[in-house]
Amino acid sequence: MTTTAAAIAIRPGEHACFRFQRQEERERIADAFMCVGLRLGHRVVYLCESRDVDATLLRLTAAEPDVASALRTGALEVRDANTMYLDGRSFDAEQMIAALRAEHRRALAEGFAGLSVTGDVVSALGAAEAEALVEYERRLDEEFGDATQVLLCQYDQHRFETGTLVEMTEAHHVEVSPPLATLDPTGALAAARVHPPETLRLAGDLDFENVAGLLDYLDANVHGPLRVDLADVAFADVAGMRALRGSRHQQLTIADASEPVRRLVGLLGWDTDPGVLVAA
Amino acid sequence: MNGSPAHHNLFFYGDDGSLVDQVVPFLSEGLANHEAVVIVLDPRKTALVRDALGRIGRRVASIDRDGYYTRPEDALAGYDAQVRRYLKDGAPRVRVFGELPLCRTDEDSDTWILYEALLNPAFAHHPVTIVCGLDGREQPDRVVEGSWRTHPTSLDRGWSDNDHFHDPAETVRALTPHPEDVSGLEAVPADDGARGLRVRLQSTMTAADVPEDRAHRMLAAAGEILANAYRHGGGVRGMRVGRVGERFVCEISDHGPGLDDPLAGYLPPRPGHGGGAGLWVARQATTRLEMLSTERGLTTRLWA
Repeated sequence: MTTTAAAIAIRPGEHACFRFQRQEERERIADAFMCVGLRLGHRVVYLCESRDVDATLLRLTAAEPDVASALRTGALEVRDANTMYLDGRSFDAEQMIAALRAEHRRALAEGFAGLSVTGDVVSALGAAEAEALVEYERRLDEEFGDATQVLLCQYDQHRFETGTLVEMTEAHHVEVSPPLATLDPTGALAAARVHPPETLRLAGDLDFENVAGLLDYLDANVHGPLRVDLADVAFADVAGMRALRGSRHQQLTIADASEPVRRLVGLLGWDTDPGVLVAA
Repeated sequence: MNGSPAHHNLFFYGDDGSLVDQVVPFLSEGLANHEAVVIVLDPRKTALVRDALGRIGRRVASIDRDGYYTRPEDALAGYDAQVRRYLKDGAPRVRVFGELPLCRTDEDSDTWILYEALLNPAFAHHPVTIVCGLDGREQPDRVVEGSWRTHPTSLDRGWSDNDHFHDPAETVRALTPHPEDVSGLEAVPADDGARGLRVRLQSTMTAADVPEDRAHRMLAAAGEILANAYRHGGGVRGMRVGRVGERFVCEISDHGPGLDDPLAGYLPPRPGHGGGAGLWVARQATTRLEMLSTERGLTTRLWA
């Protein structure tokens, strides 16, 4: 059903990432992630560089009444990544994973439903080698998958070589870099790139008001068959569904779908349309 | 028998012998052509036809007409889905022999004559041959007269054009009741945008204890009407919601030129033929959809 909160196409248990160029993009995605975490009843931890802690606290307090009260109750914490992860020492993937595990145990012990963590990885890792970072992300991806944990890693595009960025992104099953997470200016519809297999996941309201960004994205990025996961689409209308066919009417595979989407697929006759494959 | 049955044909009869004499060769021909063959009859006639067909009858699918014909919107959607699946599975054509449910009131009769009128445009693009049996022993005069108006071809010493056939859109228009005023609805401020209005509608339905499935369907229907209002109707002029007896009603008005198409929302969408699918979804998702065009704009009333 329709909600007014900003959507984010990340599910509990996932290890996701996004790359950003501009601070506004970063804040928008991180804020949506934190709000979803709070709604799930998680402890939410925002990791940043020590010099950014105060500014982030200030911004979050001003943002929403929910966020301010979560800061007071301890449901939301803004922390210096270096202190939490490394305690002033040099980069060590195992130690960082151990720190996250401890944080997870503490959240559960304190009665939270889980732990949602987001942060700029570089701020935590200091001058670590790119190779070690990629290895760390791969380890994280193997280690974490419990539905009570959600991780969203932030990468500042200005601080990495393109090749390294691609490798880091590939180490995450889920990517919400702009324009995916910011498809729709109102936040009602958000997307993620999920792989393998290469899938566009949508979350939120897929309707006539929100499809402009999706259409642009498909035009710019999809030049062959499109595979979508619509299980997290809470509301859909005909205009939203038709946008998925794009201006090129590419072959569409619907890997999963919510009940409202399933109803529309049948009513639109897509169940027998040769251009659409609907997984059972 | 001269000529052959076209898309939508009427076979008027008065005894079981005539029924069997017509139906058996009609269905057998379909089976011989490897078509998908379906009968929609009451249990007694189903047994009668199956007996007469013998062994080949096993390849005929049968649907119980009394369970199938709940309302025209559902019957059209069900038929369309079935036909599409048969064709997708490789049938070159779908051949149907069916009979309407027994109509006991004038209202029932008008409802199912409206359905017969709609079948013409709804299936014009499908390779189907539908023969509608009309048993003079059981149906009231209103259905008999309506059937002559709604079938372009009929059996009269061979299949031939039926001179009594009327334009389906005009028949539907004549059978569509003018929406009556309903009182007791609560006005919702219209300056919220589509999403805001859906949220309002949702919370009103929750407060009114509308069952969840019906509420979901109403939201889907209202979403389509709101989309039409914003995209084609110059925006939403007003929304009214509330309980009317056992039903929940949502009424949406726009600033547009209105819609003077009695078939609007009744015809199944076709891939590659855009337009109109929103109203189809809205009709499917509600128990009743009424439209009223005035000089101020179009008002669409949805019943959950």
